[in-house]
Amino acid sequence: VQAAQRGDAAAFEALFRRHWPMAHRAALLIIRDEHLAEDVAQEAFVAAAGALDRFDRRRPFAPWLRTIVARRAIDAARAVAVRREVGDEALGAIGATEPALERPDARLLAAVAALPLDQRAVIVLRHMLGMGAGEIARVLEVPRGTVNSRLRRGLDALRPALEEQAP
Amino acid sequence: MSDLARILREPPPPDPPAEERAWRLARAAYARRATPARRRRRDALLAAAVAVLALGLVGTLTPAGGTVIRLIDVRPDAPVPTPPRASRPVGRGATLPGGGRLLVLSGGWASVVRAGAAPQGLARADEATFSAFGHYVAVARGRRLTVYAVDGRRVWSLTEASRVRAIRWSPDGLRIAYRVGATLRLVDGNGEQPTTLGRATGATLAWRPGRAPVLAYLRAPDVLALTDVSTGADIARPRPPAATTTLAWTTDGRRLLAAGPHVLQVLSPSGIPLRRRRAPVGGELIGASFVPGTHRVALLTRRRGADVLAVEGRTVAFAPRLAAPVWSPDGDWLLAGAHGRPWRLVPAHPAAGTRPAAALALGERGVTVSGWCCRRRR
Repeated sequence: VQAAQRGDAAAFEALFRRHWPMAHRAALLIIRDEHLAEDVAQEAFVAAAGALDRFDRRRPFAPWLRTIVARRAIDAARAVAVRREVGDEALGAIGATEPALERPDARLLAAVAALPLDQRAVIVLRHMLGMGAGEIARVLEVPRGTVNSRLRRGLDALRPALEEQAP
Repeated sequence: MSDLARILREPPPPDPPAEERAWRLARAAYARRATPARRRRRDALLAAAVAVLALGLVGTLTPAGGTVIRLIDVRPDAPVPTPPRASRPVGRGATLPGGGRLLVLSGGWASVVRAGAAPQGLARADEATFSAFGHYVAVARGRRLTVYAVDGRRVWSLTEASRVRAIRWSPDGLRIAYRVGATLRLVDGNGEQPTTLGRATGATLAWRPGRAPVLAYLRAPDVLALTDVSTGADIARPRPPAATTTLAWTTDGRRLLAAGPHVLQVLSPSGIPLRRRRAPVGGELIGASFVPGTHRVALLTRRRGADVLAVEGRTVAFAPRLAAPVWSPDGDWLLAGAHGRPWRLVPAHPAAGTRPAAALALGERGVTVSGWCCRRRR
């Protein structure tokens, strides 16, 4: 990070390559739209590059980036939910192109994707990005108790798919 | 680590094109941050001077170079011809709701007009299109493609082997796509690097809004290509409706509309058909678009000698002959043009009714509105 802040493009590329998969996957899990998720992850890196000088380099880079990604992905998912006009028949058509849900892992991912946005977001932020409840509450701008209740409801909904994972 | 965390964190299948697209943007943003503005300006001036010097030398020393100079023909301060028709204020005090300016083709001339102001004539034109932010206009006239600033200053020009058609400026302003004969051509927004992307047909091209430069076009009458022009790779090649004449994206780039006289199809950015609608019995579709900022579809249909413009089934305008409507940047209004009558501003939302709000004096006949730009910044 220090080298990137000094203008070392190779150092910035190393940061990008290391964190792109996480950013892209987090956006995809929250938004559920491949193209929009790519746009959001791109925008997160563009924003991070523009704000790199202001980043406190004593702090770790990953949590800072994941907060940017999470905020943008949630904003985009909310905007999609407001604007969405093509209904379930469209989701069916898109789902038909997904790989068959034969493996338990794939069924768990599908179950996460089927959660309502408010529960899906807290599940991804907590279990994929590793955020604490307080951090999630700040990103979502909701009380900490709301985060915990959404997390509980989301995990309850995932329970059947999680039990399939158990040895 | 829980099973849930392990599965969520599992690396996704590699998607090198997506990663490279993102990296190019991130690298550009990083370069802008890393280079002081003064140095960038100095480097740009130096590069321009070197380029002009090199072009001059090549043009002077080689016959091929002479051809290049004739083709590129950069004359920033060339005088602009005056439109032959008397200019008059548009709308006589009317305002354009949502603001912005119109690009109008009338009497073979392209003009930029603002409500209540005299039109700014640009040039003789067969077609014209605004740049992404409305500061420039690309004009096709015969074999020539020319870019003007909206104040009438000519910026650059190039000449192709045959007639230039279907010009479209990309949403990021970096490229202009157009068709020359049966080939699809691209040129940078500054007039540099004209290249051929491949084969194309039809009079319609549509850039996908968003960061990735994706162009939808008809490669053949039965092949709709969605191509990432930065790599030349096809994202999808779905089959379009027969005799497709219209391609249009939603403002968010998440839906593509393809319409021919009998069928309208809505597709995902991956080319997956999501909705399909047939023209009314005994009628035909003559135009379609998305309402800006929404996924609602506006249809222009012709039936029993009358043209009807409807938004999601609600009629907003009808006349014996309607031109393709032009949406205001905010999607609240549209300009409907009936042949031989003034263009009218029509409110697009049900609560506003269908009464035209104002007539715009754009000329009585032979007038085409090519664009309404741009959304007021908040």
